[in-house]
Amino acid sequence: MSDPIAQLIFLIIKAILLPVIIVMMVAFIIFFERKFAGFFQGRVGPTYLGPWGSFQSFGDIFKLLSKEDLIPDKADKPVFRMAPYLIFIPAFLVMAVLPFGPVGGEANLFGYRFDYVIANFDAALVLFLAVGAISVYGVVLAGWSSNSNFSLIGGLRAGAQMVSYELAMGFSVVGVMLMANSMSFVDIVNGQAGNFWNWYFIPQVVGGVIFFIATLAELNRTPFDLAEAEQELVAGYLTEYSGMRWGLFLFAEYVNMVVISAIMSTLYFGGWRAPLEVLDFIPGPIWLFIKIAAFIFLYMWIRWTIFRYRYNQLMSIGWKVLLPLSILNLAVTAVVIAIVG
Amino acid sequence: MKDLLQNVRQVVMPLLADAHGPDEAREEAPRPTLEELKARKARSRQPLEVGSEVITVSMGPQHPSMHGVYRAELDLDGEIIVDVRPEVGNLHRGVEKLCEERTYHQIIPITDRLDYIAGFAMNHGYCEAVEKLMDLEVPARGRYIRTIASELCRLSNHILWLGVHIMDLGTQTFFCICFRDREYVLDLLEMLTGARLTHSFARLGGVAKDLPDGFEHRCRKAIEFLPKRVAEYERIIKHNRIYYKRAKNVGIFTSEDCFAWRVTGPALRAAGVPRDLRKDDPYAAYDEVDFEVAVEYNADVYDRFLVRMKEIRESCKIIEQCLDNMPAGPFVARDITRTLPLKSDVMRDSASMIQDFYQVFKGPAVPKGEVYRATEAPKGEMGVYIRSEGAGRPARIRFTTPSFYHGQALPPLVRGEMVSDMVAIFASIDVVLGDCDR
Amino acid sequence: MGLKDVVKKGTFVDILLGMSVTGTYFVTDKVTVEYPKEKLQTYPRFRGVHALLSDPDTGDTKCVACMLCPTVCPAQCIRVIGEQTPEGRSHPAEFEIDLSRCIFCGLCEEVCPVAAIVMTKVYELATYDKNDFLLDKEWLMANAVNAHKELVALPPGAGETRPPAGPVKIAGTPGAPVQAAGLAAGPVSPPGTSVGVGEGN
Repeated sequence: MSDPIAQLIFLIIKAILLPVIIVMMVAFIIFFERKFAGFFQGRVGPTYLGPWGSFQSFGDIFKLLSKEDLIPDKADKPVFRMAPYLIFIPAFLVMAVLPFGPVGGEANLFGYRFDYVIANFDAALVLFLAVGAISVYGVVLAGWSSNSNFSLIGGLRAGAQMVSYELAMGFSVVGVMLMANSMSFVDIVNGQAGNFWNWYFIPQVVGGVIFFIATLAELNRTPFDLAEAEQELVAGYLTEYSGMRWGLFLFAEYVNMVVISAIMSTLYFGGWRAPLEVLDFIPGPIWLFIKIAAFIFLYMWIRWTIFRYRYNQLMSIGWKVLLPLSILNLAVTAVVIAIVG
Repeated sequence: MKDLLQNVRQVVMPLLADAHGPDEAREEAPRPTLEELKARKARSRQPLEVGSEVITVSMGPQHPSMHGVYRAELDLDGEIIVDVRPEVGNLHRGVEKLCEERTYHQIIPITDRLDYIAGFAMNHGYCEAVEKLMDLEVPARGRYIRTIASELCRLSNHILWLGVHIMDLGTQTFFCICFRDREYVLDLLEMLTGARLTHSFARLGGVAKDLPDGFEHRCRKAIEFLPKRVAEYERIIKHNRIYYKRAKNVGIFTSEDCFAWRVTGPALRAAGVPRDLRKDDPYAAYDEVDFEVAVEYNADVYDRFLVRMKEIRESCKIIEQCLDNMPAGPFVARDITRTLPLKSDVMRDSASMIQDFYQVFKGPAVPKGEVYRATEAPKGEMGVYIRSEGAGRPARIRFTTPSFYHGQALPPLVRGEMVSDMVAIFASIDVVLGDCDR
Repeated sequence: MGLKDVVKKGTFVDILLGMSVTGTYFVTDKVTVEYPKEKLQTYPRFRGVHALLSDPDTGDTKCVACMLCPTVCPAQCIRVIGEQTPEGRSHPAEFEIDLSRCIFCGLCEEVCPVAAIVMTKVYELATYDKNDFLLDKEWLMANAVNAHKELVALPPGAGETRPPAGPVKIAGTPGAPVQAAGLAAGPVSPPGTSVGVGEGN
């Protein structure tokens, strides 16, 4: 068969396989979150279901599916139903442009070229920033449509926080864009060819740290999880969601976490590249998986150690500390690149 | 190789411990005056705009903030609290009325349930009051055992306070860590008294039983390693930038406010007033042991944390001294008309059996009169007022518990603060509803 | 703020110190006792559910229905109706404890002049039927197998066994949910005394 048909078949396979893999990963990540929460606190986590408790997520899913679907009477029903989807569908869109292996090059699968990316998009970075902003809609609409005081406060807080930290995030990735001379993820990863000292986290260390902190705020994770602060507002914008709808929010949070870990490793840590060239024989997707797992572990570790900021302190960090630092980072990067050439 | 590692450790550990130097800087800082504290408080408050839209939110009796069924109805303007209307009484069990129908011996298990986290401290305070009324002297060994048990309860209370406070600020990890450490204390209390939380161990004239075999060894091991745990907590919290931001200059209760609202205990000591009933009005064996009163001067949440950490260390010192100097002798006074007899006596001696019957059916011989006695419970000053008509049952008992006053003091002092701060302040003031509602 | 402070703040030293503490917990031993597969042995003074001790010669309970325990109980949960046996001894015709009122304070055990009522080490009292909470004389006498204190006339403190060196885990009922050992099933036979992992303090 000819090349375009082969590419079409590969595209369909990739488009189906990737979301399925991510969903399976999320199920196990939820289990690992609880298990590691236990370990960090000096206790064992879930142990009952399955070996080492690993089927806990599936037990949770069955339990959530069997619950009654409660929608408050005065809530805005279509918006209420739609809100969770607005959070994780953009994440899947971003996964479509992320490379998880070598792209281009010769035929490597049955004589046809198999690109390890669903869509090699030129402006992938901008796409990431743009669709990341759509998640804010999901959170704010969830809070607003529940028609309850707590939820409204939580939703607005979360929305404001996510919008502020997106700016810092945007400016810090422009540094990477300057270094790679392109906005496409594929080019950014190719620009980090070599060993781990060629990766961008060394020259862009300030940008990397700022990006990491900004993503903590985007994901609504501690120390920036004021939107769902249990002790203060019961559960913020999630209060009125019960059963599987709440499960969808949880799912959305973890899908976002996987995608952002993938992006972080792509932008700063070499993506699918091996740290040392001698280890090249291990395929790209495995390296990406290892890096994603490492970042998710780091997110969990931070969540279970640090407590949260007060709201105004959170906003002041976003605007008064992270944004100026990221602009400074951008300026310094631009100057250095102009000089060095 | 081992030497090399030892040397590296000796060089690196002090660096890590001193990773933030500010201890010396803090100790040399000038102590703030009352006016300065009031100015800081005014600065941290937000201006209340008149006429903006106010949402009423009920931090209702059920909330995951773990203080029991305290209801606070907040009027919020965005994040700022415009008004707070507290509502207590959801846990009111009529303890004082129950006590009127029971003899003085039967009241002891009821006092356990007042501040259920530090049960023995409540028993102790009550027994001190009754003994003052009856003019009954407790033998030395009994006083030392009571001191040890009271200090164990203080350890248990402060460790639990730390866990709950940090959990309110955001992370559950601390809660689990603190409960794990509290297990050691509760284990000791179970070995000593027979129960982990509802001790009922004090009796009129002393304690119920002597120290069991092996208790001293276990206790020494526990108090040797608990201060190290405290150092670990401090390593996470004391210099944490987030804790600085959330606890420094937040919730300032000046000494004037404390006097106005009868706030006692660690909150008062964090405001610079060195009032500790264990030193000012000693009872049990407190005048025979050597310890320091923990005082700080900034009156904010951070200082209350420091005061409690210091109190944990001092409690360990007190327990160690009591174990070292434990006198021999009886652990309970033997008084025919006023105390319960020992079980071994009852089974051998008919006079003791008659005493047993008399004490159970008629109660102790308490003279007519009234008494007030306050002791230093872990949360503050707990006072017991008893009015007796000469019978074996009190005519009126009144427990003035610290949490009631602390819960009452909260609303006027958080108007103008933010919601997150209110949660932190409420946690630092240490309110337990069993204590508050009786 | 000196340069040292700026560097410390920028490199997140304080947060990393905190993370090092949680990191060590991640790799060290966990303290969970996985109930019901493992249980902790209670201490000798533990105040569990009551039992009526019997006289080995006559087989009848030692209790003489003196009414001290119903009177001293702060929760008024004991009900005793006494009678005279044909031999002229006083003993309870009915002895009932209402567990839903009992506060497990131990005063009844303390005042009993014949050491008939003791508190055992049984604490697994969950049941599906509220009527099971009324423990009658037969149940209490049968529960004497779980009595773990010697309360005969001994010098104070001497009758108790030496407490263990630390929390001692004993074998539980692996896999069985807790309701298997309810009150309706009768007094729980003492679990196997094979001492599990002893956690020295």
